[in-house]
Amino acid sequence: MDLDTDVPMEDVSDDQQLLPLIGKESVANTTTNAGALVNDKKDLHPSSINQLDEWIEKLSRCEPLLETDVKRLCEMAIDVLQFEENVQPVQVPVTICGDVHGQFHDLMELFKIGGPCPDTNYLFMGDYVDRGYYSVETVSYLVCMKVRFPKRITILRGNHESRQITQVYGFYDECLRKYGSATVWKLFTDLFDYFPITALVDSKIFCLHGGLSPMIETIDQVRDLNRIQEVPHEGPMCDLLWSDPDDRGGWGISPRGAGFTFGQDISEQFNHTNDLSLIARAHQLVMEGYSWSHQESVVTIFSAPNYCYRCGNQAAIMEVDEQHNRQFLQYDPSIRPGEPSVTRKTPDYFL
Amino acid sequence: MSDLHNRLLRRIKEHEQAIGVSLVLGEDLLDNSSLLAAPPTPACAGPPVVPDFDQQHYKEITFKYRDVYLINGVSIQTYYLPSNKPTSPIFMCHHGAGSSAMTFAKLAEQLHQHDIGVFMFDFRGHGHSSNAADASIEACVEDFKGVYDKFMQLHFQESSSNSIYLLGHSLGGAVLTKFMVKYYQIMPNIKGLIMLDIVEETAVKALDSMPKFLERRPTRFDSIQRAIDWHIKELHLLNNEDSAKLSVPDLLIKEDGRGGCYTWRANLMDTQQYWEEWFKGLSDNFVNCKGVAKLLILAGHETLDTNLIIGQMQGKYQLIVFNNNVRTGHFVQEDIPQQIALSLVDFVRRNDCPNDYMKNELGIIPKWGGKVHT
Repeated sequence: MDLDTDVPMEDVSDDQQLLPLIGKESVANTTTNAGALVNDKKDLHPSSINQLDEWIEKLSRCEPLLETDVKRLCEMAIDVLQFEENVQPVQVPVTICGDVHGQFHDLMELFKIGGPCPDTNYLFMGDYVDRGYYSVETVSYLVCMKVRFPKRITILRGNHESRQITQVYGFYDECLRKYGSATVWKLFTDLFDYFPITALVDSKIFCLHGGLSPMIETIDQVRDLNRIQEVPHEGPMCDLLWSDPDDRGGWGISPRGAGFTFGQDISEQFNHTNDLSLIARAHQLVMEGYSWSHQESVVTIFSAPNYCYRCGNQAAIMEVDEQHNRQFLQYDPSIRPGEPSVTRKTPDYFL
Repeated sequence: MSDLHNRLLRRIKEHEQAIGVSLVLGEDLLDNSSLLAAPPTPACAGPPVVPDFDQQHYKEITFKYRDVYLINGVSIQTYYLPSNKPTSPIFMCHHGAGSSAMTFAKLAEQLHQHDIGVFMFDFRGHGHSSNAADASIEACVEDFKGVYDKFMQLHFQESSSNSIYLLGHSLGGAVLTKFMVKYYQIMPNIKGLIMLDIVEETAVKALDSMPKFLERRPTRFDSIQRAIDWHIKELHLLNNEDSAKLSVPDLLIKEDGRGGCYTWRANLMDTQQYWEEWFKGLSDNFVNCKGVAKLLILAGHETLDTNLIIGQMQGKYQLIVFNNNVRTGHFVQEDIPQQIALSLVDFVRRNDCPNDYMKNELGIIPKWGGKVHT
């Protein structure tokens, strides 16, 4: 597929027909009420709970679900996620996690270190798929947990939760390999459109995958975005999933080719304007698993230890308690990281 | 829903087919069985099938300047296709080992349509440049320094502010990266460094099989067309015949007194002692090279080594991977010149003048008066 031909944006309006009577612009505004409705009324049917528990049990052995079950799971997940907000409110205490990237055994380690869900509340800041060997199992597991314990776990969208990126970095190929067709890839990438893009912990910690956008000044402006679409190439939604903090002040063009870099002046202004204590984000590999920037206005959290089974980095998660005390838990790769399922040919260079 | 659904399904199907094809080819090339099992083909037999394409004429009508520079005792054949706009950015292109300047010909045409000037040259021992015993990367870096200075002296006034982008394919990427690491402080006009399909670890791994690979090449062809066919149909190394017609002729030279057969211009085996050092430290240099925007374009699969993965995951450069349904291989600039050109134009658009890009293209007035880096 051509990198420049993405799923056109107008296609997304097709998906929105799933939300009858909710116009393109008013999605964000109506979700608050609808969200409350879901929380109050729409408890899971006992048979669904049994079904989900079975799937979680199977997935925790690192066995992928059947294609038909993935289809059911994604339908159930859309029912939950479409009513979440662009800025999903989250209560303390919560444990905040960064990139996982298909490293399933390390995700199990994460839950050992942080405590099992739902006893511990979790907030994941995206990038569940690509690069690791078990993207399918990883994203299936997290989505199962989300549907099973919707108030206990929040899963945000990362820049890898995208049709375009997953075709380059492994999730698409893994789906083809494990299911023999692209159906499961399509189900999940369609589901990704519904993931919330940011979360706000107790009105004080703004959590997102990438970083700030020069087009966004207030959190309310994030609420006004139409997020139910493929991650665009440019614009505020793209920036939130792609930007990085930088040592230089002001804004910069991101070396990544999407999003921007933002300096300490920008972070401090954003936190001040929105009465925040902290921006928590993921997206960048940091060797200790977490890293402060901008005099503790921004923290980067990365939860894939020994990234790609070769980068030698630690992973970390950040616990925030009722008093907003923060504690970082670092961990090393699990003993059994899994085996590569594909070997790449060595090309015939310089001829 | 149906339109979206159909379009997506169609694309997936195309993609699956492409993957199916590339898998078969991948296995085919993995053991090189098709290439290595058979003895070298005596391709020089019988009269030419089709008259050879007049590549010389093409050069004359396409490249306004075709000067020979004398650099470090080596005569370097250069080609320059200037933009119609005097202030346009310029791409300076360095080809890889065993290739020639003309590997960028189709790409140059495409970039020219976007008002970008393109300069390229045959590096020492290749194409129409003279040979030199020293094929070390230091010698190549110094050649490029000489070529760069001469080019600027001939075509630009000292005060000119045209931005320069360095584009290197394969070994060319390694040379330009090393050049930037060494000279970035005195090269304020250089805005970007782009490498085409080169990863240190993969290149070093491929070195082991190179001697055998070279040994098994036909030593001569009876016509240029046969050489083109061999590159496309036997080796699957080139996938775009229009590009191959321009690039392959400069890989070959007519032999004296052997019935007009063509043999290879570059003696790659003579450079074997330098292969290791060509690529050593490349990924680290690329990731940590300062003062320029960086782009890595890969054909086929994402095959980054550890340094490149860490650098990418820290947001230090842009990566584009073309695992398209179009057949793309190592010579990605020849296979899909139009798509590569679009990626490069977009890269220039973002990096040439960030302030203008944000204001004029995105319509952003940054919040809080935050300044924009240049």
